[in-house]
Amino acid sequence: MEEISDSETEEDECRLESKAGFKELPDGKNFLYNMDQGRGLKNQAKKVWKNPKAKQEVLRMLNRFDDENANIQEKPLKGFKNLTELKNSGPGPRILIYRGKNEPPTVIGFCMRNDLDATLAKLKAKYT
Amino acid sequence: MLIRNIRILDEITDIENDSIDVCVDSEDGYTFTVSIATTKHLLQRMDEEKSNFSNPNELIIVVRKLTQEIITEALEAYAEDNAFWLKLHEFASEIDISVFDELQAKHVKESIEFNLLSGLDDLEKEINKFDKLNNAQKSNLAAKIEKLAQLLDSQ
Repeated sequence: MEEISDSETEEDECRLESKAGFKELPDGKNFLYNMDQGRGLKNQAKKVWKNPKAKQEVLRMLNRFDDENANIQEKPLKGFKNLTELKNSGPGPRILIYRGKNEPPTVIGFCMRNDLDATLAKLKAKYT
Repeated sequence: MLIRNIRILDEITDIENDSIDVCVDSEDGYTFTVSIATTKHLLQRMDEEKSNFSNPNELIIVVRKLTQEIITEALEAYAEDNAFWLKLHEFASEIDISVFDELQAKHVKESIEFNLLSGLDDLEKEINKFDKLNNAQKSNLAAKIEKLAQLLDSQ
């Protein structure tokens, strides 16, 4: 049986924390997570997670985001320096990405489209 | 519904080929968020997806160009009739399928009722064709049919 070291466990915990506890979020080759953005934003993500179709959509978009050859809509958000959204055009979920200099893109949260305005208002102070 | 303000959330890169999320602030203080795309953008998306139709879940407002004037014009149209279409776009992903199943069941019931009532009309005409029946018998049968029709109507 494979032994799990303390550092591995710590690493797992850190990784899960960066995903705000959403265990099923896939690890990306080309992106990171930093979803520890407070209770409000975690709650918006929870709403997506409770909707099976929206959850599937988030997982599908993240897989496509990780595939350099896949087409995915990523749009810069007005009024933010380094924030973009991954989306389909429908009423479904939006994934918020921080594009910092010299670092991989970072998923900072996700929400349903009709929660996008309130979510962005929360992020304004930190990301403008 | 009166629109107080329209706010575009995404940067528009090409007014003829793009899709954006837009917030519509209503007079009563609620903010709707909808997606607006150009026809060219939808065609491009279909090409990218190698598809001959747009994705069913892409409930989107389609415009020729993403100018402020056209966006406002479109959203004002969607805000008419107590914002029925704006509300549909806003809440579509949260509508439970049972709402549609209920409507479908109601339509099926109405269709059955229609067929039964039409059948009774036909039957009444047929009875009136019989010469052997005297007028009292004909009236009696017609009254029974009428009673059945009323019973169906009251359902």
